[in-house]
Amino acid sequence: MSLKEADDGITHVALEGRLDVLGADSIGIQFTAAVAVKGNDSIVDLSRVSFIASMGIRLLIAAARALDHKGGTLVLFGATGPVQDILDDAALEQIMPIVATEGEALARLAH
Amino acid sequence: MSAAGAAGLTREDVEAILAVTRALAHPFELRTMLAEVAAAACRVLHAERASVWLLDAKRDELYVEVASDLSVIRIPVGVGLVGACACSRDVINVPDCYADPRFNPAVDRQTGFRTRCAITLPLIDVEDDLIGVMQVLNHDGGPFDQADEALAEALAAQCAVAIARVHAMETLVERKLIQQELHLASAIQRSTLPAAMPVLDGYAMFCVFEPAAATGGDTFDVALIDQGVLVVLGDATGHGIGPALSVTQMHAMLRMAFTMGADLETAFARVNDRLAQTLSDGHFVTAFVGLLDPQSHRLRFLSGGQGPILHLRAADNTVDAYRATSFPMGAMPLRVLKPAVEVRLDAGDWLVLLSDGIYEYANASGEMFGRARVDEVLHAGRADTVERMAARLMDAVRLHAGDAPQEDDITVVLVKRLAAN
Repeated sequence: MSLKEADDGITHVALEGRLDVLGADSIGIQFTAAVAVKGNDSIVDLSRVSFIASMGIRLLIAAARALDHKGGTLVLFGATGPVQDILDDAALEQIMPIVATEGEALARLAH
Repeated sequence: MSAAGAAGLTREDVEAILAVTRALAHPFELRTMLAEVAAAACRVLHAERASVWLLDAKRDELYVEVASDLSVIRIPVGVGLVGACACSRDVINVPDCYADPRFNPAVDRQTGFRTRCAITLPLIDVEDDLIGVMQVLNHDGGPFDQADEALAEALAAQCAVAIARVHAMETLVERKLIQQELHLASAIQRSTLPAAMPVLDGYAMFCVFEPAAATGGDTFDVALIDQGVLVVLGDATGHGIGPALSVTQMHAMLRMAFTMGADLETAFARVNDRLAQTLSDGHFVTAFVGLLDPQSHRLRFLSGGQGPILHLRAADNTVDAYRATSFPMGAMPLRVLKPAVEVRLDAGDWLVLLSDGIYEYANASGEMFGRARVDEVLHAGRADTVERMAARLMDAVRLHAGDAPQEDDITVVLVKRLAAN
């Protein structure tokens, strides 16, 4: 997981590898701290995530919900085919915006 | 204990150590154990005070809980004689503490005690890990000599074993408590499941429920109610008693809503919103909720995060996969409810609902069972009875998994419209 806070005040997070039980566990606290605790609008790059399991979905939902409570928005982008399928299967787009590119993610936050 | 130390012990010393060893064999609670150790050290070494500092490896600190008039004191590893001993793992025998630069007088200032001489010893367990430091203060009649040092070393070795034993016992008790909690969670889960499948002309239904050792939180329901045949598959994320309670709550709420006459949409939305209020942050339940009209053979369903929902068509042996209609139940209140999906079950068609435990069951190489294998099984078994199809599916999962342990609950719900109808 890599993390940077840009000059625009938006938290940029890039996740990688498998977001299964182990993967979600290993980044859980760091991810939640980076996104939810700060409360800034956040974009999450999923382009290097190869798989996402229910624990990974839980992590994303929990962060999006926590951010929502603080008035922020979490936008996912770059999900590849199989990962996008899993996000679609769980209807996650009804909780947080899911777009294709970083540009589109930033545009969502600009609205 | 070093060989030289052992050689320096007198018969009386050995008897004193044996008496201490016997005394230390009994306590199973750490605080009592440490009090016994400190008392024994004072008695055997003719000293005024003794304390046992335990290592807090996560904080790289030592803390003392013993010595009745001292509250808990923490010091960083490396500070004072105790900290120096933890670093070097050597016995430190200091005849005049206030003349030694390593001595930390802060504890004396805090307690009003005046330390003259001190012997400080590392407590090392059988795996050669430092678990704490024992310190004995103010020997009667002058500094501790070599014989005292040997005796203290023997005592420290016994103390280390006794403390390690208490730690092991505490771990065992904790594990037992966790096991009890998991058994309770499992009992709660099972108590909500239907004891038998409804009997309905023209349909066959079958369910498999195999909870994992570390309980997840699956549930299912197949029941004949006023609105039709209710079919539910739920999966709460996480492990332990929390998810088991979450699915039980969802299950009970759904049943209650339908009993009160709610239709599918009302029941689903109400239960979702109620769960959003009651479940703690980050907890939710993926759930398929469907109502089958056995006369028109129409199945209407809503699904909160549970997918794919599989419809095996007998006519052309294809599998239609439907996605969830909304996010996992309880994740947040529903702002807009998408329309229910309606599917007609023709003769020989199947509705197949599988929890994550099937799709995500990984073999030793980490490869998951996945959707493609599920489809293969369904195609091959489309003419099977529901029992045979369930067995075929479970056999395929076990064959794929090999020796890999089951990490998540497995739930299979099969509804087949019989071909003769």
